Amino acid sequence: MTSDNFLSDWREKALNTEAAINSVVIGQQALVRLINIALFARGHVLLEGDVGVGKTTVLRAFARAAGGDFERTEGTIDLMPNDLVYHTYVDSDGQPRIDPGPLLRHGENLTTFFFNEINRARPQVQSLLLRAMAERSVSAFNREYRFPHMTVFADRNKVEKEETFELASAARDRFMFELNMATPQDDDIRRSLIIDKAYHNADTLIEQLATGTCPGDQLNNIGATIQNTVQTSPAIEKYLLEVWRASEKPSAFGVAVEGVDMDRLILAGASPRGMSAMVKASRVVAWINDRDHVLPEDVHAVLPAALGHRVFFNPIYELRRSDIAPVLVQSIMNRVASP
Amino acid sequence: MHFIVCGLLYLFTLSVAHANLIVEQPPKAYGYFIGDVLLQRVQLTTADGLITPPALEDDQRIDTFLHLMPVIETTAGNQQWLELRYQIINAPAQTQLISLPALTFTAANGDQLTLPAWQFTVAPLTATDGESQPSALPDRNARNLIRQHSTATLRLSLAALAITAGLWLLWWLFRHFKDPHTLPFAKANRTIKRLPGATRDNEPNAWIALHHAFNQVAGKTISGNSLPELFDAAPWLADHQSAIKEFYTASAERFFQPAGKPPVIAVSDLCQSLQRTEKRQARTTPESAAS
Repeated sequence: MTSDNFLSDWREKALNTEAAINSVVIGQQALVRLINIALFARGHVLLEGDVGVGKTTVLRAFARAAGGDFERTEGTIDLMPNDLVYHTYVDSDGQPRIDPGPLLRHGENLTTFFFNEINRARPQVQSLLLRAMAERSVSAFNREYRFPHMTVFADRNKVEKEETFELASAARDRFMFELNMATPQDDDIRRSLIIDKAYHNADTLIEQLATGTCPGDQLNNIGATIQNTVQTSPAIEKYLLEVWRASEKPSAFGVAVEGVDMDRLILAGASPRGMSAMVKASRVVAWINDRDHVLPEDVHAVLPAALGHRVFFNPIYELRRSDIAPVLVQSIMNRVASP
Repeated sequence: MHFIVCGLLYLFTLSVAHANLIVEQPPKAYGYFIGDVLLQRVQLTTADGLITPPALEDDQRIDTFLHLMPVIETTAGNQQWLELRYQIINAPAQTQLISLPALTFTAANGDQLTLPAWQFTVAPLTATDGESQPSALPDRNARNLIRQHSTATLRLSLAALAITAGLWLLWWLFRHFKDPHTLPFAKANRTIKRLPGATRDNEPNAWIALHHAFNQVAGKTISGNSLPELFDAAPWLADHQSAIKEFYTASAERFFQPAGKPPVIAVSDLCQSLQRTEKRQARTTPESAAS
């Protein structure tokens, strides 16, 4: 099979998967598209939203589409790092036993690790997850366990802040996208969500989806092919570099946010890892749009999700991040010209 | 001897004629001043018939001091009267005796009836002694006053006209030199014109200049999929919609598609066309073109 056919077949699979998920998670097309992009760009996704908007459902839907082994952990304040690595108990023979924990249990077959309410877990747990996300491996029992196909989906609700641990900047940087899942505003969709019985049972909805439509163990391969095939021209590379510069010193590009001293706003711009993730995601967007080269529109499609959580604000502005970051990113898109 | 007899006969005739002329001329006991009107009423109706007045050139000045107003004939009962009004139109420097002119009427039977001159006193309104009227204004030449007044107004009007014309010229020059420096497509056109003519449409800087102009018009960067935002921000570009879309398609191919020969379209012509539209727009709503 030629590379073109290979990419084309996978593109069809990706779009079909997306359409299938959109049929069970209604009113979230943009969000589903971004998670799909992250999946093929081999990035992890942090999903934030109000309680009960369907964060878990949408992530479970993607986990089912990816097939493979799925593991889920609930973030709690008493969860410790070792709870992810091993599980100790006394068996029926009265012997102490140590079994692998959620992370190690599936070995290399682990495709989707779903961390629910990640901000309820202690920073120690988050730190362990950092390594697992960045290197797709952890060390335990004097050896290294690898999870080459693992994608981490995490969510957190943005309403409750008590007994939670805000993710450190380094932890957030490891998520390719930080997405906000909002309650749909369209009246027809809202009516369906509460009246239509089909949407009352999330498990039934998820079971409607075919499993393994985008096999998780093949995603690394297709992801690498996409990255090798979709090209970036000198003009788009210049544009990406200017976006990066703008994330570091927005005032130099005329980027402004009302009521914010732009010279004091930024502590650190996007990291090289962040920008590289954004470029990878942009290539996937171009591929999904059936192109072999990246356009500024492709960058714009992922810029808010990829950049908003990667720009580090001065502490006096950090509390207003949810207000400032979207405006800042939008302003960067409006100000940095391409070509 | 014959001449003496004739002269005596003439004097007699006059005396008789005067005796027959009935005249009313109410006097003022305290004298006359400038502006006063002296009235002489002569009864034209007599027992012998109507007296014919002399031909008078009325409604005009008759000497230094007097103006004969329009002569009118009135009827009172069965009597016809001729009313002569003389207005004093000049003030003498000192009290002076002047007279109304004598007039000769013709009776119905052809006799000459003389209205004798009416002598009266005319006085100045103010004393001519400088000490008694120290604050009196000096004599002024009215003609000069009028001339001075008219010249000043004319000069003022001319100055206002010159200032208005000057300001308009300044505004025109300001617009003429400002527009190419501020209006987006005018700036792009200037940039493009500086490029080598033969390869102008193939120069990346020409394309980039036009992109910057679109961005400036929209107030944000515009890419192929955000063209509707450009047309929302600048509806006056609607006539060029297809050309602009073609430009963006070609531009994406040129700048972002790594392989292949970059397409060429007439960027300079498009920019000039857009500049003309922009100029028209700027004349009607300056702020929308320069947004």
